[in-house]
Amino acid sequence: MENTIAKNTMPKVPGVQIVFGDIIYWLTVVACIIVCVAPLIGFISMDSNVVNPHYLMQDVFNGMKPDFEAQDLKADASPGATVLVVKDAGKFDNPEKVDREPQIRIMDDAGSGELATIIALNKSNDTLTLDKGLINSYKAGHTEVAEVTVWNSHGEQMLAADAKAGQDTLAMASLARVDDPSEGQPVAIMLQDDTNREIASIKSIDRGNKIIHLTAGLTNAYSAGAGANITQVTVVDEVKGGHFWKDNLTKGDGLTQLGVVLGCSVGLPAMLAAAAIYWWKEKVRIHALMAMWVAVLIIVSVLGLLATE
Amino acid sequence: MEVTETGRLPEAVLSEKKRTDFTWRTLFKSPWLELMVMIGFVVIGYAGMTLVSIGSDTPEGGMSAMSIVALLFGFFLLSFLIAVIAVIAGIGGGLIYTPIMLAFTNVNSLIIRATGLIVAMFSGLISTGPFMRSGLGNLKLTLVACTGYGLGAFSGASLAFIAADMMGDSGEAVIRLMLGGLVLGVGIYLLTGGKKLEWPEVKKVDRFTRFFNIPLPYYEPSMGKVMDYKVKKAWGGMLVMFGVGLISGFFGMGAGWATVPALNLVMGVPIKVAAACSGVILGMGDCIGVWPYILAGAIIPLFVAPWLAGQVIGGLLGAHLLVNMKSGFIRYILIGISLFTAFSLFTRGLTDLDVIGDIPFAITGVVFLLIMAGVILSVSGKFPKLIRR
Repeated sequence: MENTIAKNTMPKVPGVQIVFGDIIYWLTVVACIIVCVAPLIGFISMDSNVVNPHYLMQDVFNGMKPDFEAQDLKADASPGATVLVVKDAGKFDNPEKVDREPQIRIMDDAGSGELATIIALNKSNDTLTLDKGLINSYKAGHTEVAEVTVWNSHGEQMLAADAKAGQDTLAMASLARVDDPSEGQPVAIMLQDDTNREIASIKSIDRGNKIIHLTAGLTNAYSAGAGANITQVTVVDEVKGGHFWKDNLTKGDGLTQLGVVLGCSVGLPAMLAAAAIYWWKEKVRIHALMAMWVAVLIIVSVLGLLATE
Repeated sequence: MEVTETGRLPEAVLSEKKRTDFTWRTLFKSPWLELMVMIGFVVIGYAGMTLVSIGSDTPEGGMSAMSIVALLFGFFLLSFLIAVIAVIAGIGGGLIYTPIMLAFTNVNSLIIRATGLIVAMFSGLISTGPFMRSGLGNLKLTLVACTGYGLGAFSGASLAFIAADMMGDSGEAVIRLMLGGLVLGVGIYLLTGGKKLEWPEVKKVDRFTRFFNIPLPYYEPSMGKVMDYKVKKAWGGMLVMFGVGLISGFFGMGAGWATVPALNLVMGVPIKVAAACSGVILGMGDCIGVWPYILAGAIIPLFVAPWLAGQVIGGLLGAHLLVNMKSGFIRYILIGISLFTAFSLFTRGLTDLDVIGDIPFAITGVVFLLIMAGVILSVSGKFPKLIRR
């Protein structure tokens, strides 16, 4: 260890350090400001978030899993069946261990499917027991079962006329808050009154006559004048991933994620700048290469080029 | 304080003192200006969310808006406090955050560990600017350490997902037990003081280390001197930092408590330089380690936001206001937190594995009171010498 006492000169801090530090510092400040403001935007209109904060926070504190992948159906399932055989039942949330009823989406290759609720699971024979019988039939090897989170994300809409069990159309008072189904983005609605509750998928919407056409008939009957209502729900059947903010910058959670992503990436521009200064200005190639190595690791990590599974 | 032959302080030292002296004008300069701006946005954000929440409807099965605001604001305050404590104690905030959340909440361990990395990295990121500008931080040393740490952090984070997949239902319990062991080890390490050398003696610098030309003289205000130093065994530092990164990435708890001694004991870096570089290394390494969690959706933006903001503001304020505070007091509190958290992690892990039944609240309360009594006795200097050392 050597100590040297300053006389009239302070040690000069290399410019590359100052540039490196300032890039990280100011980008971190910007990220912090974004994550302070963005949740307020999300709160002003809860329904306009990618995922509704009411349900999201409840689910997070109930032990929601963030990393679920769809499972293949291992045995054919007929209409009315209440048991599904899957590849690995242990991957699903066990209703006995979490404070909620795990919901699943069953979907075949043709894109038709339904939502169901798990009331029990058996890991030894990989079976899921559902709260009620299936509406459709599904073929093993051509059907995927995924745990989903269902969020009630739009405001309530009222029925304009009574709907009978088995009926596959709904007459609505308004369709202002119901989206049209589009390819790859199925729209689900929840019908509920004081005694019944079910989820149905929209096949098409006739906005002129305010009619919703469903993919399957209703299980229960609902009366227009007895407190029955319809709510569009958001079904999340896969993890949103880190870059969902790109298409959702006007939404509170999308903007918040931008702040998080920005903060978690500040090392990249700082390392690239340091590498450039070391390489071209200071001609210290070994440090330039090391800075590039760390930058490459960040890029690989950000882009997810190395799979985690 | 070092003086010149004429009895006056060196001019350079005087100008440095003048630059860093606090006046009201200082508030309009960096870092106080941006600190006030960030605090202003926090006030606007939480006041606004509270106003919006008043009278708002709560959908069936959802959490009320007011509860969400209360939770978020509580998280922000806790994160702020953790950042201040972490800065004073020279450890990563993840060491406090991750075990506490795993021990006392039902939140999924991947979400907790992902957020833990955010908590661990942001107080380090915000302190990078001041440390690099002052010369206390050393970019060359940071790069050497990051080459190992970054790779380790990424591997650790990836392993966390593989482990979660392989271990199934019992995985959460096993993670709690492993983390309990680690936190207990850290508690014992803090209890025994840990072997740290303020100014390690480096007699011989090996050829490999000399190649990196790491030393960087810096002004040490507490001594009124410019200090220079040598470092050794860069290869050993890289290897050890890989291991440190692996633990950090896997458990999502940062590893400031391991980084500082690794740099200090293996490479012979002065303790203060090691502490300054530790935050920068954590920040850089976790920029790599956090991404597997982000891409898997384990970062919940609304859940993470208050933790991130608290770390940035707390880290910045703590670094500037409390830099002269004695760390001994904080060390005793950390020891208490570590021991009680380890107890909770062990009992909860064993309960989840059905090895033991539920622990009665009375037993948990007695353990908590015993540990707190030990902390209070230690702070007041009445505990056995082992604790005070």
